[in-house]
Amino acid sequence: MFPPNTKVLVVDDFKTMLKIVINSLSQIKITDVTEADDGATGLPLVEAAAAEGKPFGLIISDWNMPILQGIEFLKKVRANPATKDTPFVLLTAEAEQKNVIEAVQAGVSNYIVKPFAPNVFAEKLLVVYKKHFPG
Amino acid sequence: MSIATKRILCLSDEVKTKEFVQTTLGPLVKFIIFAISDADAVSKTTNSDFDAIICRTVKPTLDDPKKFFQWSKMQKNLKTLPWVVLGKDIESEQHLVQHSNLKFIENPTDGIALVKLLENLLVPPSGQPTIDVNFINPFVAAVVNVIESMAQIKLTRVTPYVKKPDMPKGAIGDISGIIGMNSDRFLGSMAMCFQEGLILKIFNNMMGGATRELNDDVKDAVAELTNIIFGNAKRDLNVIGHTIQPAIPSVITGKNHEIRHSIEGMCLVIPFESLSGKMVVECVMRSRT
Repeated sequence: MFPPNTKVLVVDDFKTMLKIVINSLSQIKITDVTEADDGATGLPLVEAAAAEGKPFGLIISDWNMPILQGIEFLKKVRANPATKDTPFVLLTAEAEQKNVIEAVQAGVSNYIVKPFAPNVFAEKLLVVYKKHFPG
Repeated sequence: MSIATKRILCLSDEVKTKEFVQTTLGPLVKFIIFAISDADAVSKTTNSDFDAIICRTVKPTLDDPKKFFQWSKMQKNLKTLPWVVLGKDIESEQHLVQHSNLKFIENPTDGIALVKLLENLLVPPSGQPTIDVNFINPFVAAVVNVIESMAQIKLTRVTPYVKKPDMPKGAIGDISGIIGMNSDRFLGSMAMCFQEGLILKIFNNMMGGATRELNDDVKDAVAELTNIIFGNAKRDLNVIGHTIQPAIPSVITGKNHEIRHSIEGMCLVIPFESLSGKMVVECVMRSRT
């Protein structure tokens, strides 16, 4: 699993979901969490952290946001050589097959459908960790 | 209302049948799709929305498990569709009576009889809009599942109904989430209206607090619940061909406020009850055509 000192960025335009995700992360001992309310505010944070040599170890983002949607945010993160391998999870109620396909093609690490149970959240993150850090 | 906006599939490899259907229904119906074989019909109906199917009666077509009729009974978007069978009368097809969605009409037949049959099947009597359970069920499932998953509250659905002209126009609640619900076929909106007691119970269960008023955090929660429930219902509706587009919700508060939907149209009301209070989902839709 991601170690407790993992630096995480959580992006969602609804504070309720930000709090639920942060709470779910705390249940797996991860507390170094930065919040953003849109892909447009999250992207500069990702770029700045990478430029400082302190990149985020995990990004969890909603899909449906007013300015920069999660899928576009993902594509921009993947297009930046400094952040292209950052574990990136999309968390969303938009779970249609075409969305999943688009996300996979864009390089998403995993996809969590709302609503989710805490154990499902942890299991999905474990899958992401093993995918990015095999062995 | 008429059959003009209905989508009809005609399954036949006979030129005469195709010409008859085209001549009779072509001036009246905007969407007639022709399939010349069972495989062609499968291809044209997968993930597409239809209102009725017309075919020639051929026992193998209707009996053979490999054929389109049997296949269609397993598809969510097709299994309840009426089939108009041009052919022998029902007495000679008794074994097919069990399929209540089959309607037989003599062949050859005159076009008027066919049109009348389709109107009876597809157009509700004036003043009595019908409830499509295939449309309601995803909303019911989404509301019950999301509220139970996120707040551990069991909601019980009360009988849905279509709002009549003499009923109050807006849904009445203390806090509501509203979201646009538009597709290729209709314009609409969905509102979720909560009594204060219920939404506070939901919020406190979700967040682990003891909030007693409808503050900004509760409003945010209502917006997110609307977002998730709409997203879940939209997913299931789009699987059966509805093409509903994503949207972002807004929230209204005020004791016993009324919702006025921005669209005038048929209003489906789905009430729910729980030990902590009541809520209502309203869906208003107006056809684009």
